[in-house]
Amino acid sequence: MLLDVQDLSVSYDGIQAVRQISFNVKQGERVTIIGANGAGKSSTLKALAGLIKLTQGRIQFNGQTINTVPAYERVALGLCLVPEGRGIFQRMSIEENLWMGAYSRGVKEFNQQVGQVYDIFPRLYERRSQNAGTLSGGEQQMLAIGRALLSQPQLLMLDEPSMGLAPQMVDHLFEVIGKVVSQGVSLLLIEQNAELALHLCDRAYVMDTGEIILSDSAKNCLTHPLVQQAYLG
Amino acid sequence: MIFWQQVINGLTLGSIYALVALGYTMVYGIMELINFAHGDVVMVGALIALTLTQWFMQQGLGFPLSLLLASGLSICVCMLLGWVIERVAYRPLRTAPKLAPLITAIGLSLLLQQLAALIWGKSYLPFPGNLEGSSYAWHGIVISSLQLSIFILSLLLMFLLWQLVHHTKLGRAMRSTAQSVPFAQLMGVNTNQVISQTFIIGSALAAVAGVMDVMYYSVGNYTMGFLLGLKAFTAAVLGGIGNLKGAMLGGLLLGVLEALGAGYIGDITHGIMGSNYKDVFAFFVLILVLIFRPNGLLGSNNQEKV
Repeated sequence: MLLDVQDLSVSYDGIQAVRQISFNVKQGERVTIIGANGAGKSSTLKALAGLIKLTQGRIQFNGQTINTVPAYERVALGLCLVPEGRGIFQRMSIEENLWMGAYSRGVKEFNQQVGQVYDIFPRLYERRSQNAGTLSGGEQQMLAIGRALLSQPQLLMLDEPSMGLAPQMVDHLFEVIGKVVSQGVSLLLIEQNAELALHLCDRAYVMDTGEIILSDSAKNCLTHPLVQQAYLG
Repeated sequence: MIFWQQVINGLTLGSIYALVALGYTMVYGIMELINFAHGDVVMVGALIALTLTQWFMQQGLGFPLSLLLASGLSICVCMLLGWVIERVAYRPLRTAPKLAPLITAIGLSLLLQQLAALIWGKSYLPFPGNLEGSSYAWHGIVISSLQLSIFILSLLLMFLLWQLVHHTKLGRAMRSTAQSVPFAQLMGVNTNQVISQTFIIGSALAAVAGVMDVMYYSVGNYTMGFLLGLKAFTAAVLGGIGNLKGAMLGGLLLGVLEALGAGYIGDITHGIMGSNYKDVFAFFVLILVLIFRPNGLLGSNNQEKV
């Protein structure tokens, strides 16, 4: 088991955003959590990345309990989050952003691996010395994913990668994500576009008001009446 | 002739302002805090260097060696002081409303001043040794070797800081932390450590500026950091606070403006105001900047946080 979460609860200002949820991701698996706005999906990912404290529960990664491991040390363990809004450093160049991706690995690793990222995203190579703030939304998302790859993640967590992107861009993006994860990286994807997410992933959890209300294979979820009615409309 | 002489004097003064302004701007850039105690770190650096130079000389060491040793120790003490200030005063307030750390900064400034008054007393202390040195004259313009050293050393330090911030791992960590603490953490940056290191670097520059200041004016006092700090803060705002180039430019510019003001104020006001009113210029500049260009000369309007 790569990621095993037991009874995770998260509170913001006294409001419980996530209530005792349990889920897991196996090595090489692609898992999605779908659900409406405010269901607690982002809070879950932030807690996994260490950005917010959990009020209860246990997170195990590769068999190690990481509840108290600070956020900046989780990257080195292979747990990488591309946050909502992408987390690009707008006032740094594209290459420097990529360099930040390899921050926990070192310069040598960066030099060895950056070529592969540029192969996947040729646009980034063309514009590598420009400020990341000049990229379009879709390009920034590509940069965020490329940067995440440079941290050599075992589990890549993406928070709403399609948000704010044109439909064409979204299709292209999901193609790229599919390609990336086919190389052995496990995926935990949060997405409001349930259809895309379910087609990409092996398994799905459905969250509603802080709880997991359904857990099944992605294929079954696509035809599940609850998912059909609420998220695929 | 007096014009160019005052420009030279102003550049000397301005390079001291610039070194101090860098400390303000780095801390502001990374955590949006005006560290009003920074000027008093300069004072601590100056007074420690002054006392230790004297002490080393009493032990029979020559002036240059005494000064070098004293400055080195003063830099170390100030780095430690900067680290302690961040750790004890600002870190617990990281998530507090912005007014809390600001008031703490002012409190810290007073605390450092009063501690210094206890240690060094309230009178003006002369800097030991003969600082006359050699000077170079050129078409009637005089540059002392002290002025030249201050200017060159400042430029060197600014160059090194620029390289550090733009071409090292620590520098990139600092810039990413400045743009977003959580995003930097997601990259593996220990942001608390980076903030500590920012304070340490800023305080080291402050110590150097303190040594320069106390040598330039050849006296030191427990309140010397207040005005110097305020002027350096003005310089940082003039250049665009949060912007490294801005602090360097703002410092030099403010120094020159002040020197020119001091040189000409007597002529302009027909002797009603003398050069003792030179401090007015810095704050006049601050007011003008805040009215007409609140983002500073090099600050942009859209310095959005990511």
